[in-house]
Amino acid sequence: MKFKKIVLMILNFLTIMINGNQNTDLRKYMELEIKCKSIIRRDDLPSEFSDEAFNLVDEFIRKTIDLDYEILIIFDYVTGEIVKCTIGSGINVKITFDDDEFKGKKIASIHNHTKDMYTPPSDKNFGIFSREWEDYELIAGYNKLWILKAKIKDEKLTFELKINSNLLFNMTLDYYSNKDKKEDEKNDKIDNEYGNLLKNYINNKNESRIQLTEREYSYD
Amino acid sequence: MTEKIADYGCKKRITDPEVFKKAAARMDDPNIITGKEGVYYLFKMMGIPIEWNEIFSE
Repeated sequence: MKFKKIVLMILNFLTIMINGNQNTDLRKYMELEIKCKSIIRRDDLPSEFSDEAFNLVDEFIRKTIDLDYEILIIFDYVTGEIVKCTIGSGINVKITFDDDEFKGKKIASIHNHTKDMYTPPSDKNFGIFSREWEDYELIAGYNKLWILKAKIKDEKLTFELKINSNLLFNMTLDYYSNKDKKEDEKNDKIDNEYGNLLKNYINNKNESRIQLTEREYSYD
Repeated sequence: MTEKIADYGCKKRITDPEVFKKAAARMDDPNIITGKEGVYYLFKMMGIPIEWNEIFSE
């Protein structure tokens, strides 16, 4: 286990040494402090994720939990190797890629949603159904980890989920907007209820290659 | 090599009271299907089983 960890550290160090903004971002990420103790369990992640991948995800959450900007990591969920890292600006974070660069790898992405963002996937998070190389998209919110399994690739699914998740969000917003609650309470309710509807919608496709799960955690 | 872009966006929590005000007005507009009713019909249209009382905890 220790040997694997050392190999991974060397691989990630080598990635940093190669020129490019993304590797400046990776260096910045590696230098972030870990803010808290481990807050997810091994079985919170898909069984396909290796111990090394679990450590990566766990560390990512603990490093980014109180950040006010987004970070995106593309990683191999079998080897635990970081393949790409980028720091976002505003309300999105993106990477450039070439279709061939992920060949032979089992790829997942993880990015954080900051405290001023809703935690569940939004209508902007379903491009994964059009990306052949990405099997899982993880979103680390301030109190929830969302895991979107997307092993079916069909552009129509991207469009369907984009439209219908947007509809579900807006209908949830409308419903809670005329309730007598404070702004924070309304937003918390929207976050929870929209997330539940989205889970219900996606998981009712009864297709094992598509799934949305959430795991709650707390950070003191 | 053709470079493509993968975008991972999000939605910001609403802080503008006007947005909530307009959303509340949509609930009161009989010409707009939204809220519980909208969710119910959307799920039924997509063939997803749902009961009225399963939509939104209070």
